[in-house]
Amino acid sequence: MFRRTIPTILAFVVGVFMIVQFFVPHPVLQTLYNMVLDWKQVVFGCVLIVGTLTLVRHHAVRIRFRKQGYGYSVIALVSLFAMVLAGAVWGIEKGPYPWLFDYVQIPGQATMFSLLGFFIATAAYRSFRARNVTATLLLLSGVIVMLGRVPAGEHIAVAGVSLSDLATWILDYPNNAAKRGILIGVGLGMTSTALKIIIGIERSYLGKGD
Amino acid sequence: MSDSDLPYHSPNDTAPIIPCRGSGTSSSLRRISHGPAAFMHHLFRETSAFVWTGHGSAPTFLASVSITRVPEDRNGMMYSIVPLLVAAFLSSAEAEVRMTAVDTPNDGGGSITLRWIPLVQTEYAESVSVLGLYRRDGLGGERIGLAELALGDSAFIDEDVVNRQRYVYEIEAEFPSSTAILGTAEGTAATQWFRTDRSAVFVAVVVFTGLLLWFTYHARSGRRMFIRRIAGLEAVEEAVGRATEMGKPIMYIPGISSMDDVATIASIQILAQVAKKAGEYGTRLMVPNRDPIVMAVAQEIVKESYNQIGRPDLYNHDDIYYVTYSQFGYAAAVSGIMLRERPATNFLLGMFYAESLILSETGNTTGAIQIAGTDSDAQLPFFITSCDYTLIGEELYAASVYLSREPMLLGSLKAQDYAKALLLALTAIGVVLSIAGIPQFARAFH
Amino acid sequence: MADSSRMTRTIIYWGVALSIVIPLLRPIGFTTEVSSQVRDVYDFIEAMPENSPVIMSFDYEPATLAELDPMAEAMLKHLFRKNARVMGMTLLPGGVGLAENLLRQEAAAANMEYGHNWLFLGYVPDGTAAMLRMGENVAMVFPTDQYGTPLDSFPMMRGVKNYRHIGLVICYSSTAMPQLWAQYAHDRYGAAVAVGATAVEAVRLYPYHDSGQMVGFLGGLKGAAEYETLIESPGDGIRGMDAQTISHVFIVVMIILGNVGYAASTWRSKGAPSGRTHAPVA
Repeated sequence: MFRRTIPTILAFVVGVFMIVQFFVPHPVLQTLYNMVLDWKQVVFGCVLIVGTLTLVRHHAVRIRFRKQGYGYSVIALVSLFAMVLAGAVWGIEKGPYPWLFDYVQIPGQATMFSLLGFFIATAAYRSFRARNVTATLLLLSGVIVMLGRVPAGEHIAVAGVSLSDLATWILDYPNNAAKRGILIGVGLGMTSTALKIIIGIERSYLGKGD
Repeated sequence: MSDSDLPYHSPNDTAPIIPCRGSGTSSSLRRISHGPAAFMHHLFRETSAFVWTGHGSAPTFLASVSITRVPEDRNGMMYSIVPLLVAAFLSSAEAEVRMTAVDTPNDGGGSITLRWIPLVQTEYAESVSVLGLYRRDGLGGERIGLAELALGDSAFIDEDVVNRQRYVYEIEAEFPSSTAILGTAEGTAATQWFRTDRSAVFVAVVVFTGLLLWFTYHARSGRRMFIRRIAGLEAVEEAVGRATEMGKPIMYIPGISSMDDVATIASIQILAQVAKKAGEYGTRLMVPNRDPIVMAVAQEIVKESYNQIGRPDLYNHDDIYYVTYSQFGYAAAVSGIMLRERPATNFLLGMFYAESLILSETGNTTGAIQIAGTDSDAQLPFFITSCDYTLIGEELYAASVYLSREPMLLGSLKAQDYAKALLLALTAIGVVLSIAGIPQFARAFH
Repeated sequence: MADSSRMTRTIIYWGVALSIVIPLLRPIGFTTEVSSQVRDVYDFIEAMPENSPVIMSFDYEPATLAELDPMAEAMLKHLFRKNARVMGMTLLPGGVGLAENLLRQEAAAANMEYGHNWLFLGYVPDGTAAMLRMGENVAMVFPTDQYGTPLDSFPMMRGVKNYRHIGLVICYSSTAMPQLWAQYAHDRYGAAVAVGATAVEAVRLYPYHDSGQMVGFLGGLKGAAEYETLIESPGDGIRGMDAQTISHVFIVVMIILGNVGYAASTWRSKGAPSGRTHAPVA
């Protein structure tokens, strides 16, 4: 009952309410809706604490049992507590917290993002092969967009049309058409999944797959 | 007149476009009572402009003339005559500045929308030094200042009103030496029970829900339904088996979005099936999470799946854990785990963003078999490039149905197909009619 | 096979690194044309009345700073020139420091006063809930600014309650935040939404721009360069165009070489081209 029936009823009631409030602007419904949003933020805040505790526990277990690569877990925990301590003792405006943010977190994360440039290069090298007609079309459009999206493309023309304009055309029309096709399918899939949960025919998210 | 007389702040302030509200003062009311006459004073002396106050305000204007205090100077007689003459002219003239006050549509009440022709478009714009918007509760209520307006403003939404009560609004212009009411309008706020601007969405929801219930009902009655083969889902068994053979773990990444995202819900549904298969083979399953709520749900799902196949002993709480909320911090951590633990199989199912290629390319370098799926169309090319199988868009939502083969759920796929066909037909009709010069059909969906 | 793959990968990585670093050290001076998506944003801000309230949501973290900071910087310059009232905020905890630094820097450069011309509302968790509630009342989400001062005590917040009173909402992000702003702030509450997105994510914004759900968008460093061109204030965007151009050209050259190698191997083996293998190729 508490694991299946009540959660299903709750999902139904809340789901129907969310649909109704979308169409009915009455203040009573909007007040209830704001209350739901309040709860959502509160739940998120609480679960963030649970998540952090799980993270600490995960790494603590790795360190305790000296699992392979436990040194990284030590670094993770030291970094976590160092940031918390720096913010709690000196505040986030001054002291070590902004220093750690500016000189450790920013370069570290920016480095991760910059890896994307390298990975895109290897992925493009590997996949843009003229294996057949469609792969060749992909290759050509890839090259046109790559060159067309940088200033060089504005100075290279094919049959009187600059690569920049060609790239814009590819992005605006074939790309957009394909995206819309995917989006329509995705939209229906999302709606279907949501309705299945509201109606109660899909309950695998409750831990009941069948 | 000093700035302190004004119910709104002076123009020298950093004036907001829709500024503060304040209470009217007795001085401002007094000033307003002789506004039209003062306006005519200005008209006569400056010979710059006259402004029509709207049809409705003509009687008010004439009434106000009768209470005008005629200045006791040598032009006094002239001041008292000119307003009468101009008023007579205005009563028959075509309106130049009209003002309307209507209940704001599709809202929960407590709001009136005012619209008028921007003064900047008239020839009188140069003469006006300050433009104020005032409100009176009914005809005899206290008058309060609502806002200082710019000459280019043409609308104002008053959200501080009570439903079903009548309000009179006035736009008052202040000239270098006088003031005048340029426009008045009356309006009442009310609560709406249905948002008519969402009618098209409402019809779509009703039709789609109908289709879903219809096909679910038919599926329940045992009617066999065809579902096409999806290679990526056929490979799930093989992928789990491979990890078992190699004695390495499986990594399941449920995307980096929250449970708000239906893609994450779809991913969690697939996780339930994958966990069962992994449990049947006794293979370790790791689920690093970016969202703590998703983590909590994933823990519950995996535990329940192991219970269902009779292997609760396999569940390890520490294998389904929270990493960080930071997008690239998460990508760094998961890439590191891939390189250290070298999982034989990676599932990347859910919502992904710019980190998708970092994750999938790292998995590719470790030689793992990778099954990806997302409805994030911008990331699909990256997954297709670096993963063995990719579920494209709606295939992600079909995956749970495909893997479970639950007849009732299969009905929902059929409903999706019919809804898609309907949408395509409507699109085609819209295109044809728009080309034929009948855009009303397409507009109905706006 | 694995060794040659590793070698190819190493060559590509070095090539990409050099094609980025060298143009940054020795600039060439490429200029860029302005796309319609960027021009639409610029025109919209130009057409806004003076003193318009604008929400600027810095929904990015340090990782994407290199791409998104230049566009936020250029747009802040433009908004302050127009005397717009800028309300900075972020929906990501890592965005607090970035947003604060940038707002302070640009406000100081334009002599803008805190509370009169700009505000920093800070961070709020759960982005979608925040977007929706701001449609009802901004002060419900941010009762105070980042430093604890009640919102209604700021002169620039007078008459500003929700999206109806906001001239423009601008979101900078490398995730789906722009789409969410469009779906919730625009579709539900009618707010005008403009976006600054990383180049990877910008591709998915075209349908939103075409449908009018977004005023326009700036995509990647090129978007920033285009905006800098429009406001005639060169910055990191225009400076980065050299590196971006050379690296793109390098990748295209590598793709051509890859195809030459592929054609040669196919011709030698005279067999059908193989599909993707599990082992890394590059």
